[in-house]
Amino acid sequence: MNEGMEQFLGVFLQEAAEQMELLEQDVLKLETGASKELLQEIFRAAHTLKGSSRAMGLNPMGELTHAVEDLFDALRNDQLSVTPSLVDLLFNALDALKAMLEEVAESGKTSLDTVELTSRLRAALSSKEIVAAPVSSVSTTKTEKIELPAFDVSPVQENAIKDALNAGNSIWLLKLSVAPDCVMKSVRALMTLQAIERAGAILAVSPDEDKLENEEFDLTFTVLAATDRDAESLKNAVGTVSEINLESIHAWQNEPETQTNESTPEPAAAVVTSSAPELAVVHQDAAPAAEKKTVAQPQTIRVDVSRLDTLLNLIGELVIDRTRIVQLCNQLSGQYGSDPTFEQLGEEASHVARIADQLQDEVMKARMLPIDNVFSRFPRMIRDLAQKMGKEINFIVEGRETELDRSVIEVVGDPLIHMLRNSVDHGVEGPEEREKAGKSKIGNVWLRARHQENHIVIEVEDDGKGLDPVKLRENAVNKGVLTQEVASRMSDREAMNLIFASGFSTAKEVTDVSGRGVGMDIVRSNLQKLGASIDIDSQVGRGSLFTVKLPLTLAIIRGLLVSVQNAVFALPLSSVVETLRVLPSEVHSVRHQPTIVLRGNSLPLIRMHDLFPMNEDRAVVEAVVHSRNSEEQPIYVVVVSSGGYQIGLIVDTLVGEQEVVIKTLGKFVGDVHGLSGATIMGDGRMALIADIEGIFRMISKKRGVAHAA
Amino acid sequence: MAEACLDVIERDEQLVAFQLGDETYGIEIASIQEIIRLQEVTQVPGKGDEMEGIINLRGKIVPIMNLRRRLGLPHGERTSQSRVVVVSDGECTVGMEVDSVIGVLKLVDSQIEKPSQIMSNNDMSHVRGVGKTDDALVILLNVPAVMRRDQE
Repeated sequence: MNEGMEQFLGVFLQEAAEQMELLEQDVLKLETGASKELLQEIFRAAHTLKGSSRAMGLNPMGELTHAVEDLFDALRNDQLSVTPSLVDLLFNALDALKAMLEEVAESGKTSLDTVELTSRLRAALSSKEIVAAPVSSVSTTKTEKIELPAFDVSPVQENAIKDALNAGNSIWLLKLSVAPDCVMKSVRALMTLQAIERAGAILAVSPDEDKLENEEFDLTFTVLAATDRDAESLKNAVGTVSEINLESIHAWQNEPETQTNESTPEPAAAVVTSSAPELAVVHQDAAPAAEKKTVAQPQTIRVDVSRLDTLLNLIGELVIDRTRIVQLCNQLSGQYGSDPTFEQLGEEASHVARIADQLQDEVMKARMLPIDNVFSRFPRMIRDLAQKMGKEINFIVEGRETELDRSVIEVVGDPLIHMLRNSVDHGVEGPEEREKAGKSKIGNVWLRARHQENHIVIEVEDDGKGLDPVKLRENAVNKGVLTQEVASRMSDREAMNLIFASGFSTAKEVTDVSGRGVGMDIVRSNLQKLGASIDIDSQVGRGSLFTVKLPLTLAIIRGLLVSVQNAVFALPLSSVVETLRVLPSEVHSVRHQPTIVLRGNSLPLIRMHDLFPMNEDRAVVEAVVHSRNSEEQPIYVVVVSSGGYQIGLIVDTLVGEQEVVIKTLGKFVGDVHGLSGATIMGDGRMALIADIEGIFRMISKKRGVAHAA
Repeated sequence: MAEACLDVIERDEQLVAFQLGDETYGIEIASIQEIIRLQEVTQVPGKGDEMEGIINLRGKIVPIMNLRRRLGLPHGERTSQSRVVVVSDGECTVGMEVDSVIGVLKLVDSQIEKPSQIMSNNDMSHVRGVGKTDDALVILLNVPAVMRRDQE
């Protein structure tokens, strides 16, 4: 690495990772069809990567990206066509780059040998068959001379200028200078370019970027940039870079004489010849091409994630206090209700409450990321997997723009990988088998994300062979997960849930793809930790559908507060189906299990008190409800669901619904079965947050039935 | 030179002394976060007897340990003198319920003896020494050991 560059390593790695991700996605898209825009985007990403890796002095990386860039350039200019082997080669190169980046992240340098790969890329380039030389339909209208420093404009830049004009952008010429005492001119210059790129697009740079990187320039350089905003935004962008001065900025498209001298509009094209020192511009007014407007880049700043985390924690405290203040006001209103000062206090309190709510919303939004951050790595994975397994799979992703909190984003990836692998490995059949079953040879795997109320729902679906409850039961008995007796009593739905039991794999052979039958077990427990639920729906021969319901955030949930004896529990609203008032006479005993009939279905009842015994009173779980409620006092039942099952929890009273900030019980307390944490209520007291999945596990453990947990 | 001086000056430590039953205990002042009055404790079901429950300490959840049970002492009644000594090892914060807080003590090394010489009780892992003052014996608690949860 170049000396003095260590401080930029973090920024470099972060940006390189972004570019790599973009490249990977785009190359995947390339396989399904190449468009001009796509190739342009790929080329730009490769170019940026080349530039930054060279600036960092990582020459092997620079070499490799350079070769990749050349390939894309050839593709873009129709000198080369996309073939599967070419895409494979590109993926090889991307993998090598990834490995190099990892190496750089660890040791600051790379030792990977890329000569072979580079020469393969070069070979692919030289084998190019010239499909069609680009025909530039240039018709000259008017030549306008602008005082410009020497510009060496390549055909690439020429295209870019053309595109920018077509898109109705304004084009600006920026003359910039570096402070004379600047130590790292090239870095400042490159930072400036990056800053400008955030406000618009760079069309041309003089001296060119390579020279800037190598400090082969004096103190000044010139940038031709297009933006869909005004000059001010470019100025501001440059202003963010220290030790850089903006000497002058000229608009050259909107200049009055340009407009007046216009002749008849002609096909969109603009050519910048490379006659230095004056830049001769053959400029035509583009036909309004609003439909191809370049996407405006929103103004963003990078913020350290830990700051956002701290902010959210503080907001959590504020939310608690807000609730507390409102409650205190309510309590005081009986005493001071008529006092005008108290009225004002009430108004202030509700205002503070409102602000706190908005603040919470905004901070939550600031932490939101599109789920594509996770999804984007899957197409590649599926492709590689399918190739390895000799299966043909059409992978369809929907709802990539769905946003969720980054705390969830971080942890949801692994379970999804397992699920998708399972679908590809165990779900979708091989081509022959599919044809035999009368299905199309190509299997489909869907990955969908969407918002549903206060949740994110992610579905993984395949049209493969589906789960066979009969086989699942057999398997479970053979593996000793269940006894024959329990297995035969099990419903099909329960049998399907068996795939979540540990030590259970439905695939006859263990493959290196989805492992040794620990996959779904881990998936479920990981998801449970997130407060997520997972459901299966499957039909033999038709396919399987896994539905994951995730909370929007892991920090704040809506909970139903219930009281049990003198304790208050918060039941996550995501798991609550409904609340009921049941008369003791409606409760039947089925094999010592209190049960009610709800809309034709039987619903087992569990006393919360038995699950969470308080004081010395460790009550017997098998306590029969109606013996305790001999009088006709209605009992409150909260129906909760998990994994397709429903049970009714018997509570003393319903307290209300409230937003609760989840706090862990801490390391000292450790894990408590059936609880996921605690929260502080508006009155300063604490409520224990129930972990519904955990409660289901407790119940099934007690009954000795595998609730597939 | 400096080292030689250190040998001459005896190291001393500051302790917070508190009462449990008829015994006096001490915890080094550095590991104490604060001392609070007893407030309503929320029980956490399914936890052993040593865990009293949790409290809300200015928006933070702090577990409360029944120190009497932890140290194998007989059950005691809560009084108006009862306090919670909140100790922290940087990672965990735990409140320890005590009968009453006596105050701050200063002990020098020569006043501290290894536990085995005086007491032969069964579980000495929670005690790191015994301090002798003019009028009492102070049992010095080994805070990390007391805070460490037994493997269940």
